[in-house]
Amino acid sequence: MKEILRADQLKLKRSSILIIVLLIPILILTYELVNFTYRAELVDKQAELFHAGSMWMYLLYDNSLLFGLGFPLAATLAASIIANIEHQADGWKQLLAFPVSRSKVYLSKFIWLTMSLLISLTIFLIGMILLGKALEFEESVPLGLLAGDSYGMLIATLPFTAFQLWLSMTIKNQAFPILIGAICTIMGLFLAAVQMTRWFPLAYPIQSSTVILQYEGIGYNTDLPVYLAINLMLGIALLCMGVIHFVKRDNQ
Amino acid sequence: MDDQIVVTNDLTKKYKKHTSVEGLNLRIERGQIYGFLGPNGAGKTTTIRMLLGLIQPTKGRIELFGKSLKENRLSILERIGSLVESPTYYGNLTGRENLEVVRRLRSLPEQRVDEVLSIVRLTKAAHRLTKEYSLGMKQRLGIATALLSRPDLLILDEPTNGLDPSGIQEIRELIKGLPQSGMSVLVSSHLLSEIDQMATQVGVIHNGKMIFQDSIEQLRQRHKPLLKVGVSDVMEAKAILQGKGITTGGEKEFLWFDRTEPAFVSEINSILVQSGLSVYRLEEVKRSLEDIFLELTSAEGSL
Ligand SMILES: Nc1ncnc2c1ncn2[C@@H]1O[C@H](COP(=O)(O)OP(=O)(O)O)[C@@H](O)[C@H]1O
Ligand SMILES: [Mg+2]
Repeated sequence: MKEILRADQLKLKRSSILIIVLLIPILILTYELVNFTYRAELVDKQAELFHAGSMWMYLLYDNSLLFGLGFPLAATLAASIIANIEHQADGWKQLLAFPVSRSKVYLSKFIWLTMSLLISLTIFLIGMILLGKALEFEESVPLGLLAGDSYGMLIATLPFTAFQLWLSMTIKNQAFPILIGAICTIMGLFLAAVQMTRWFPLAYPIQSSTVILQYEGIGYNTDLPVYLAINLMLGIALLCMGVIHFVKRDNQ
Repeated sequence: MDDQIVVTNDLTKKYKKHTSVEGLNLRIERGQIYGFLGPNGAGKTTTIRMLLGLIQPTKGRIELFGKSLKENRLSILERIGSLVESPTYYGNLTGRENLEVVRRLRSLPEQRVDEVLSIVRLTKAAHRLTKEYSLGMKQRLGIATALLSRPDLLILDEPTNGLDPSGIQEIRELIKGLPQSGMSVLVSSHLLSEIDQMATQVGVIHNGKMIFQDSIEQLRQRHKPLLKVGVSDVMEAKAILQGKGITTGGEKEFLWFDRTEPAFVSEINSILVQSGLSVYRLEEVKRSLEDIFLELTSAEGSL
């Protein structure tokens, strides 16, 4: 397994995966920087109105929609880039004619996808802390909340990510998986808005912030552990299904 | 037993209704260069994909190195190097990095990369991105990749496709030298001339069926030119020649002989003329691959 991971690592060199890794942190942090400086008064007023426990919590609340929409899109693109490296190289036939097990081939792609997203989230987390420090938030850094918000997203999107990887690996023309990914992301937004359908796993990324706006104001998201537990299991199940299909299928 | 490198029995691949490969019995022995010949769409690539375990046969058995492919896929692939159709190349990587990917995957020694680069003469271009490579260079990189693990069996699917004559010549010489190191080679092509110049054994596939499998000499026999003779009375000419112990195939209008050397041609001519027949044509007819296919397929039809 180590061998194939190291081989796949080299394939990512000079690819556009780095852009995708940086995309979400840069976009959202830039937006928040502008928001907290140019519209500082409005932000302060709203934070007060929503009874935000701290500016950190307001920051998390404020970026949750952008993050919940943007991150699945980033996962879609990252999965597409990683799979497309093989499609473009016409590499499947060579890779699968080597003495490596097909499940390891698939898992290696999944691991690098997860790794890229993990790096992206870590940059986002560090970026948020730096942003708060730069804006001189009074309260101390709520590391648990921030880290939970960032890394929780990885688990909340796990089924989606596993599905997108399978699509991108199976279908050569990447326009199709990317379109599906975009549609699913938007669908998640609509599903989350309705009380009945917000329990549908596709709606979790939008709702997976550690803080949410309730009647009493901004508070902790008590549903989050349930979302994460469900999507962790669903994600693993979808990953296994992807592996099984990939191992069995004919390879052109 | 140990010398049978590739054995397939009744190998068949069906795509929905269409049968791409049907009842193939392939035999390749150690040290052979096996030329796998057939027109486009004959089923060469499909066969090769099955040999590499990339696609599952609909029917039939594959044994490589005396072991069943189904049960021993990984240990068999350990001993094979392959290039299927167009070569694989990661355009964002240099030639050397492309080989490094495979070296890492297969845990091969580092100096092996330099060795194969020099075998295919890509040492100078090793540090350029492969998306800038010419088709010939990509093809050579593909062969280098196939050679990287010092395979016992090398499978090359149309390795000279799209190359210029000097590139073809180069790859041909490279392949011819491989059995010296104990390697067996399966090389496919749709050009008879190409197989003729490097193979020791030939398998001819047509519409998914093997219609000929033997040594290259046997195929050359069939490839030899024929002598076509136009004569006023074909029946009488046949009888006269029969009397002289010369057998001939004949249609309505012409006599056919499978010898074309000058002495033989003039002998036929003088026999016929002296017998009072008029000879109005003496022609050497070269047979193309298509003709041989036609002959082989019609022979198969008559069995
Ligand atoms: N995935 C596929 N689905 C349907 N038909 C296929 C597929 N792959 C190959 N074929 C058909 O099988 C036949 C043999 O193709 P191929 O093995 O590529 O021929 P060759 O390599 O000798 O040119 C062709 O008629 C081709 O159209
Ligand atoms: Mg082919």
